[in-house]
Amino acid sequence: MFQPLEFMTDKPAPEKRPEMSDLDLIRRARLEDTSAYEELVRRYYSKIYGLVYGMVSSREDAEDVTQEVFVKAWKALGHFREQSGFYTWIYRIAVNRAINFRKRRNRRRTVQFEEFDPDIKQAESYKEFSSKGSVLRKMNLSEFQKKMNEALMTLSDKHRAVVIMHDVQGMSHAEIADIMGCSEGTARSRLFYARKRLQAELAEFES
Amino acid sequence: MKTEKKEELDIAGLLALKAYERPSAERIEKNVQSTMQAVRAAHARPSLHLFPDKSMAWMFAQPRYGIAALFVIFLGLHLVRQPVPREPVSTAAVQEPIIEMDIAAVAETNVPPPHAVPAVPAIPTVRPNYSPLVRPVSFTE
Repeated sequence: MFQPLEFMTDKPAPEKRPEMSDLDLIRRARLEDTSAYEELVRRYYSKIYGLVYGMVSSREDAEDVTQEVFVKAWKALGHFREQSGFYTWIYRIAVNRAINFRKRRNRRRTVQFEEFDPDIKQAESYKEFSSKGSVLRKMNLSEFQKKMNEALMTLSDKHRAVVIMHDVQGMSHAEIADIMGCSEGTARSRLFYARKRLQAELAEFES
Repeated sequence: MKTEKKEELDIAGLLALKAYERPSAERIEKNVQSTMQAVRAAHARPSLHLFPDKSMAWMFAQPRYGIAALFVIFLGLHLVRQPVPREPVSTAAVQEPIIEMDIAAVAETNVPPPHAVPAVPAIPTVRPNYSPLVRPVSFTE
């Protein structure tokens, strides 16, 4: 009996395939499927860039290091063990790369900050800090950015990484401990110490 | 007595503002594209099996190690190089090299081997013509 071919019927076009999990994408990328890896890069680019930028405090350096991180991860996909998430694994690579970069560039500091997203004006914390008598009332945003980045640069690499992951990127202590390869207690104490240090560095802005 | 207590800065709150230091969507897209270009280039480039998953970038990033590595390579090549045999310098006058011959073979056959003696072009010989000078003489003369 004549069976109409699929394109002859009035069936609707197949729906876009559901979003693949990281693990599925990694398995495909391991078979040298670069489009699967591109999907992973798109998923994590902003997060990794944010971490690296917080670590190196320079826009161009952060772009270079982030690119290095993804190229390194691509080359090392064969060593990726599926027990840990891709997220944790690539964060580990990013922290190590950023620390190595800082060691390499210790004597040559090129600081070029990222611009603030205009959405910051809508943020609750911004409104709070820019209210009367608060920090952002005393200086403009770019001045605040410079002071904050300078204060962050006084921290050690490990303390800076913890503070960026927790306070800027909103990660939990457990996630940070997993990435940094330390106990949760160590992650907490590093965060505590880093905040104290920043408090001292930015004391001039206390009300 | 009035005591003024300083209010502590909300560091966590201030740090949260750093999350707004981010590139625009266009720049992210551009960076993703250039990252994928680098990934594809790394994929296409055959890696050195001697040093898997290593690049030579460290050599330039850490110049002291690069210089040390170059020195070791130079030293290794210097030691590995075959010694060139050298004749002791003589004070004797320079002589033309003599073509060696297998003397024994020549003595037995009296024919020098053809390869031992370079081909010598035949020397053109001029035979004198004595006929006009010769005439028959008799015994009476």
